[in-house]
Amino acid sequence: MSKVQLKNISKSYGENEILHDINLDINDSEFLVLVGPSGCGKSTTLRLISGLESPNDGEIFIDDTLINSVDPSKRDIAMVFQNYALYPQMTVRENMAFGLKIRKFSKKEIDARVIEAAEILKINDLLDRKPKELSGGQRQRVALGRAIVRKPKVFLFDEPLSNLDAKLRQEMRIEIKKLHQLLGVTMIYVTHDQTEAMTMGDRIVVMNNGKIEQIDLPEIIYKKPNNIFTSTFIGTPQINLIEGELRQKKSKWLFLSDEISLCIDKVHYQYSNLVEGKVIFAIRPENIHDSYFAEIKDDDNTINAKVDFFEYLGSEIIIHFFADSNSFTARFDQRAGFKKTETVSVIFDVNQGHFFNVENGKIL
Amino acid sequence: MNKKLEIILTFIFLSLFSIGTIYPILNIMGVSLRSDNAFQTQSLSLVQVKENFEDINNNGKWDEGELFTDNNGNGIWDSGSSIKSYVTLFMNTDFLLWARNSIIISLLVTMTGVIFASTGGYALSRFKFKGREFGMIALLTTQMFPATMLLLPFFILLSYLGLINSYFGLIIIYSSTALPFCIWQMKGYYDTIPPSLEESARLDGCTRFQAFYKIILPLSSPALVITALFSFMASWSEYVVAAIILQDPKLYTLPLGLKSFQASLSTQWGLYAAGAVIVSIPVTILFISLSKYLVSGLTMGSVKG
Repeated sequence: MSKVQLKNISKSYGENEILHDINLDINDSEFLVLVGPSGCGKSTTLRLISGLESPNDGEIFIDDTLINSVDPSKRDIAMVFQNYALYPQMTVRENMAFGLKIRKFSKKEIDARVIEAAEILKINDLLDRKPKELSGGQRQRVALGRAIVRKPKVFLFDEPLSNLDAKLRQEMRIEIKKLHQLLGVTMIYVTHDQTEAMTMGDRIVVMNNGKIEQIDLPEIIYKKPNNIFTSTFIGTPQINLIEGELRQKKSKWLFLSDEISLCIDKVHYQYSNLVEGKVIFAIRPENIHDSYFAEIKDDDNTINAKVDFFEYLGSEIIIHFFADSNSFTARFDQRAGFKKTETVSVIFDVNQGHFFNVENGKIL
Repeated sequence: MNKKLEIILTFIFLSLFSIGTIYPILNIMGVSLRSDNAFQTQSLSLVQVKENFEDINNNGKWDEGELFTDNNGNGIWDSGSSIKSYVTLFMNTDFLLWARNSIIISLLVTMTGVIFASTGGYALSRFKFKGREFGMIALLTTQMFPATMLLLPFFILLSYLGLINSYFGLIIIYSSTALPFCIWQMKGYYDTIPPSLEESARLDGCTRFQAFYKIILPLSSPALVITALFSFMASWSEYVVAAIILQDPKLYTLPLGLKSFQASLSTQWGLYAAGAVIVSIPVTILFISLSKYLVSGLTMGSVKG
């Protein structure tokens, strides 16, 4: 159980700057998720912590000890790779015991730890098999087992579920989270899947182009994104972005964009930050309601929009609307039955929306 | 119908090709078993048959003047096939000495090839350093020069180093000609092994060398077999360079030794052929026993997956 700190970390490959001035504090026993699109630098950050890469600038600490020049073999870190990285010529037992053998643990201790880890992961009957005889999920468990036996200070996960099918991914997500609760070890998890990030992380670090966009609890990141990138990256379906203008009329703030006219209440968390001018209004699909089924009516924020097309998901329907030049997506109850080009009355729950600066994409 | 015809024609072609390939080998074996040291004969038989003769003096042996049936038209009476050439080869020539020299040199070249190719290929595969691309192209370029073109430079180089007429000089030349291909081949094989395996080993506590030695090297055994085989073959049956470098008959390798059976006026074909058969046996055995590695080692990495 350890805390990890990254201070002013920068990393370049030639002229390509991969990470720029990264500062990150990971608390003891925390499950921190690094999430972002491909190429954003999240795996590079993980590799810097593991020691497989060295930063061009900055410092990395584990428990307040500088580890920049410490060899990966001495950092007491375990890593689970995307492709499992099991040693093909060894059995599962030998794979799990390898790290302990290198560190010259006694045979008794090695056997005890291997059995213990195998029981946690329910892979006792796989111990004498070779990796090629295992399924993807089994291999991932073995990779986890190989990390667990070491009882390291920090666990690193580099997109470990990417090669699994959707069902297995869901099962393994729960397994890993339970493992974290059981072991209480600091875990740093890299993924490009925002669902994994939201469901697993104690905190989420959203990264883009080598920079950290936002670090916070999943709930805060979802409900109060700092910028357009974070708001669009987290959440499925993607948040709606509508360009328009803020106008103050008497004591009211209005958002105007072609046929859309929305009234903003004083309770809105950005109310005091609003200024007249061009803005981008963002609202999640679940915050746009069918006026027919809505529990609370709001005439000021009701607009008519035409159905463009819809996606039936069983428990809900995702409907793509257009209103003049604006298009947006709403998530409706599966009872809603609309036809294409039908005009529907929808209510925007503006208090759940966000206003971003048009120029820099940041929250107002 | 066309398909059937195609199969028949293919079969005929392959059969003829096989016969054309195997016959010279069988012919050499036949020459090695002949008692008359004859190379050219009108007979197609591979095994010499004892020719009938009129035993006028009833002594059981053919004597000069006794009429005989000359089956193979070589003009002399043949007593039939025997292993006389093989016996003479081992007992009355320096064949065993040449074999010892060849074995020593070939094994040392093989070891050198395996050590340097495995480590050199790994460095080129895993490390990015200045001169890497140039070095790889340079290695490849050396393969473009025919051996005969390099004979004089080799000789001059070894003369300066005082290594003419020595095992060491020959090993250097053989290793340097075999290594470029072996390094490229090992590098290509290592490229198919995910770097995450070594990374995992390093995080498990291995040093860089331990990760290479314990994890990567065992996985690359097919490629190592190719490297060993190629290095061995490059030196075992090589003649031209050995002829230039080695002047002391006590250092002769097998190809050089066998060549000594050929004189300006006559050639001891029986011994020559017997020696050729014996020399080809180790390589044949190696090829057969390592054949399963040959295909996998040469083709691994050619297809992504």
